[in-house]
Amino acid sequence: MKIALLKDIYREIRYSLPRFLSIMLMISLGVFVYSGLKGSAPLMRNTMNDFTTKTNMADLKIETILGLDRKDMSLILSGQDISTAEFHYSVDLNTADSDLLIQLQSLPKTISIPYLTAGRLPENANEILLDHSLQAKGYQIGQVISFKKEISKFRFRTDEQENTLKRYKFQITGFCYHPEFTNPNLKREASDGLGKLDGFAFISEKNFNSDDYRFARLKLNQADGLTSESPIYKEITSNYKKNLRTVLIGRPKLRLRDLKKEAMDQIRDNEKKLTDAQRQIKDARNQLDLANRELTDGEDQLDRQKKNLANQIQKAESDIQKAENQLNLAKSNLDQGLAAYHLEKSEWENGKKQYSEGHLALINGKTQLKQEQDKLQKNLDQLEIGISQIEKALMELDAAEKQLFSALSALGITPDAFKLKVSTAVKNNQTSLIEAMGDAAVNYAAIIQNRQKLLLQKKELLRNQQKIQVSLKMIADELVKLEPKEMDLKKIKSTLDLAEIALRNAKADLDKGQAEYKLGIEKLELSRRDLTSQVNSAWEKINQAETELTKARQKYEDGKDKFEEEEKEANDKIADGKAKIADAKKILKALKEPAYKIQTRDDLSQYYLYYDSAQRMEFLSNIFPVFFFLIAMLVCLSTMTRMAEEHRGQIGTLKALGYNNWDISKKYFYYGLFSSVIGGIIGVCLGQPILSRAVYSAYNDIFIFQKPFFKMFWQYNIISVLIGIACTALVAFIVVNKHLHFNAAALMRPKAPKNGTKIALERIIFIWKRMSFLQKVTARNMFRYKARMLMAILGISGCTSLVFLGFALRDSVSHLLPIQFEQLTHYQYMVIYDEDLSESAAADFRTYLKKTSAIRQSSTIYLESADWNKKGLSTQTIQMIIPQNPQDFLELQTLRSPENTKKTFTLPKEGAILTDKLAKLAQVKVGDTLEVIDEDNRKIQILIAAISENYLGHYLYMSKNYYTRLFGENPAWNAKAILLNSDQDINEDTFISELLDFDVVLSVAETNFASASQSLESLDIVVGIMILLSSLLAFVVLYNLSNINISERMRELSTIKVLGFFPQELTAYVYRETFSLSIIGIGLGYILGILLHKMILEVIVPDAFQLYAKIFPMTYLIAAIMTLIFSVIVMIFVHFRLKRIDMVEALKSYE
Amino acid sequence: MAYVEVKNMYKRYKMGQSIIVANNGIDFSLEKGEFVVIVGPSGAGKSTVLNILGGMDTCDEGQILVDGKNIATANAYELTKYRRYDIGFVFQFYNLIPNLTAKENVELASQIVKNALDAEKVMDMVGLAHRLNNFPAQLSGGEQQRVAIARALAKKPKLLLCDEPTGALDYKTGKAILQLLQDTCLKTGTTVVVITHNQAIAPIAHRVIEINDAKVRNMHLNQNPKSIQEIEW
Repeated sequence: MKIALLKDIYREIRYSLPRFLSIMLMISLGVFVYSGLKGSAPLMRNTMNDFTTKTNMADLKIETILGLDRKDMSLILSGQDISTAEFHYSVDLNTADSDLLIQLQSLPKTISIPYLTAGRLPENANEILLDHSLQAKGYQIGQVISFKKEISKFRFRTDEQENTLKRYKFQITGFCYHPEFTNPNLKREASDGLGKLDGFAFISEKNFNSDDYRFARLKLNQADGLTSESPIYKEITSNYKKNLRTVLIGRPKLRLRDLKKEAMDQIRDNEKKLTDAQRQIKDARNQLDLANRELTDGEDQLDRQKKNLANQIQKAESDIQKAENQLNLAKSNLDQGLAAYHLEKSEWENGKKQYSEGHLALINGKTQLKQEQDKLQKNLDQLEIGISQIEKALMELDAAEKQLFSALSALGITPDAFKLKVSTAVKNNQTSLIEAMGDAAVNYAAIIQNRQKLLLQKKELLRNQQKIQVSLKMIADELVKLEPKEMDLKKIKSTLDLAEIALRNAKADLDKGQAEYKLGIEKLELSRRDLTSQVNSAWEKINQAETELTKARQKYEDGKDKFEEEEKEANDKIADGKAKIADAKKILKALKEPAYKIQTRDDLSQYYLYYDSAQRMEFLSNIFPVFFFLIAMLVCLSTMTRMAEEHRGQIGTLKALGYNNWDISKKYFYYGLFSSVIGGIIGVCLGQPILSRAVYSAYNDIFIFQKPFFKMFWQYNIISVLIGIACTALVAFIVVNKHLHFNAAALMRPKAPKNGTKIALERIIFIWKRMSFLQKVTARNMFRYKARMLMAILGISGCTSLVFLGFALRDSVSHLLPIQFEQLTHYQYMVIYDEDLSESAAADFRTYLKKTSAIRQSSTIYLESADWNKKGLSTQTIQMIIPQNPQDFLELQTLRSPENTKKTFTLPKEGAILTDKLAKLAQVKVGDTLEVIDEDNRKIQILIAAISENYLGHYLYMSKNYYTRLFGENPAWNAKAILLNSDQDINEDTFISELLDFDVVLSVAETNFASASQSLESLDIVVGIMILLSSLLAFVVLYNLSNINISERMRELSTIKVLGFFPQELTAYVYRETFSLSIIGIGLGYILGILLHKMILEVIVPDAFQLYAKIFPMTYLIAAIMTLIFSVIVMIFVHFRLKRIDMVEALKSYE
Repeated sequence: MAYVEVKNMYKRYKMGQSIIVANNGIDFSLEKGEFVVIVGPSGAGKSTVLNILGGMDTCDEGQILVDGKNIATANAYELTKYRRYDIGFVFQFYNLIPNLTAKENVELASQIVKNALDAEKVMDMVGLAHRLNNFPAQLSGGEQQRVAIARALAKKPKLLLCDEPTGALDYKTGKAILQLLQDTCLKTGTTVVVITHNQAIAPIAHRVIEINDAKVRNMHLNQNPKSIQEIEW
């Protein structure tokens, strides 16, 4: 039996696969959405809780800017119920290379410990553990990171300016997360007005020089085991916070008093220093006067002595001078004489020289001439010899010639002809001819040639001889000329000799004179020496006096230097003292009671925001999946019902055969069970792993953990699968059993088709008459199956409303920021400052604001925050803004009515303008009063004169008069709203740091609420997922309904096909109904969507924010179009199905 | 050329492994204005022939010429047109649209044909002028069948095909319906083809076709068709 049943079920599944699959798909979709979305918030929370537990996060953190002193510590530790407490140091420093602002804390031991992501904890004092986000900025393990020494606007200028840290260079050992820094994109404010922190780091406690701890972290016994968002936990910690506040209530005043005392002490010290210095100056001045007097006396005396001496010297000197003059005269005479003597002597010597020269020249000339004469004579002799030789040779030649000719004539040759021949040949140089003529000719030619040579030679020698003879004559003439010269020279010589004698005499005279002069000089010397010694002794006296005087002068100088030194010192001290007094006075004035910031986990806005987002997400997950599931179940219901209907006959047959009810319905039960279980499993496997993770990652922008600590929340899985099973298997069972109430025969008879009746619309004859035939058919068909019609409308409207909602939400999110910042809030920065910190800096700041081109407009305001409480809601912070110049300020901030955007407000004389979100939360309207708690913990009743449109944060705007009246003091302008110049290309970071450079500027806040926009962006993603799933659902619903529609009316449709309706007409016949239902569904969907939108806007957004409530026409359009598109797609499928109808099969009789 | 000629028609069904031959070479022809009766036992293939002739099904082999047009080679569109304009079909189980009144059921057919007969007139023709605005659920079986006939006739078809029109009716009502069909055939000149397994009816037809075991076994003409009133069974 069992196997047959299984076979049957299997076959049934196979043959109606589309139905089976559609049920499976619906269930899996429903489970997917339900389980996935319901599991999202727990997943987010779970991840955060895990992280909180792993890091043993503190329950309370107490921090004060001055540091916790001993008394503070003992007060804190005196609380009961503390399980552990840790105290830590902290300082905010800039890195040396990249100028990032990092908060360095001492390494936690057990409370709020860092969560390592890489590396290890620091073990030595020179090691450091960095914020994980700094790894992305390029820092690595092992690298050395150095910091610049701290600067603070609040530090006292003490003489010993001690550095906060022992060292400023550290080696990086690792990276970590920390529970106080859970949002990587949102920077926290540094404490000393230095700007925003870029990260944090942990170093060993030993590095800090301070005695006072910066903050304390506590863990409470009672809170053990509870999670951060449980109400019990919140109550425990907020109670403890209240208690602690009470315990520490007197501390701020005390600390302030101590500080003021310190300041007063410093003022007193410095005033004393001032008096001392002044006295010093007086003393020194006295000394100086004394010294001066002494000096003057001495100087006078010296002057007198000097004068005397001068006179004496003068006289003696004049005497000597006279003597000297005389001597000088003598000397000059002598000199003249000597000069003359020298002159003459030199003349004489010149003369002598000339004479010698002349004489010598003469002798030389003579000798030379004589020598020349000799030489020439010799040559002459030689020449004569030569000539005679030549003549001899000639004679020989003649002889030879004669011989030759005799020989020739003996031979019979005529000598003349022969002579002529040969001489001609010789003349023409015809040697060969000559040779041809024979030896005799040759000999004769030689003779001729030789003769010619010798004749030439003789001529030459004779010529030379002549020359020499001429020369000899000349020499003789010269010698004669020389003689008179010789005579002259002799005369000169004798003159010279005479002169010499004269000179000698003169010299002797001069020498004498010289000797006399010398004597005279010696005399003078003597008398001079006398004078000198006299003078010296006198000078000695004077010197003595002078030394004394110098001493005295020195004394004076010393005294003067000393005085100047001391005066300078004293002036410095005075200046120093004055400055310190001024500082101290200023700080005294600016000193406010130091705030003891007590934070529970909720107060850490980053941390809190995450849970908050999870909670709001959860709300969405209560609406959407339920809706979704509902529709999915509806479809399953109708499908299973249809199935049971179709099997009516079978069921009847089985009953007739004798099967019992359970056996018959088993099949359908199991059919439903299988499909829903398989669908459920798919949904479970995909739901939380994919969808919860997807939603999680939509929010991971605001959380350091990009991936969750994944955990399956089985309760949702189980619930959704059970519901799925109920909607399929259980429904099938129930429906089949309903059928089984009838008897077999009735079941086997074909079910009478539902009777057609007149529909209500017919009675409206006016409309009915105007409808075309086919329109009437459609109307009848629609209203015939009322249940199905309702279901279709419901399904379609549900899906349309979800799509509508999705788009409307997106619009609300995306339009929020443009509306807030283009239409309402025009300024981009709020700068908080305190003019009392430094007058000069305040003036500079004011000038900067006026002059800088980066700022287009700024407006001075007084900014104070106030709290508003209501049971059940968390405390809301309201920013009260009191403008100095309301007109100016209203140019930077538009205040207008939320209902009528054209109606703008100005500051009322009486009352304040409240932003609309808080007005909603507090349920106040114009004319009511709002009770707020100001910074001094006073309760103030504020009259609400108008309510303005605002989306981010709560604000109260009031005039300064009203403020003064209400709070009892004048507003102390402490902030500037700044609008930047849009046509300047301004680097915002540079601008902010420029502002922070002014000593008076405490902080710069941007108005664009980075955290809000982040959380809204996450919402965007979630909404996108919603739209997608809704669309899918819409499609499946329409498809399913259409199919059921067709299945039920198969016979009718086949008949029409037989009648000859074309396929388009057939499809239109069916589709007209679907289309009309879609239109109605869309209309209803709009209404539902608007309601849902309104509801969600209230809940989904954090308390301090609103989303833009207006729904744009585009949303309506898109929702409608999407629904229609799906219905068109479905129609296409339907068309093809209708086309394939086998008329014959469908119309087969019931036999 | 006969008005309708069926030549060598085969229709086979593949059921898993086996092939069932519903029409195994059917041949016959009909003349215009004839009242034709097709008789044969259950499962002989009569309905198949009618379905194919009526354009609701296609044959695998053979020719079917209706007024010169071979519908065996017609595509789906042409077949739809054929059904629309040339055929009127009457089923055994009426197959009226339950959601429409009797008149609207007839209008359903007349809406899609130009020059259709006026719905009221046709209803009158079938004797239901007083039942125009009743829904099928409010009509008796005979009345419903009349409406079906009216619906078929409204289109002024070339062929009026009836598949066991009296199968769900009692003796008297069935006779009345047959009378109506006969009258219609004689008065309007519509060619009427009636399928039945009741041999007794055969004499009223001009032509009787006997189909047995997927083939035409016998076809004979009646020179003098009897009126239905004269027949008793």
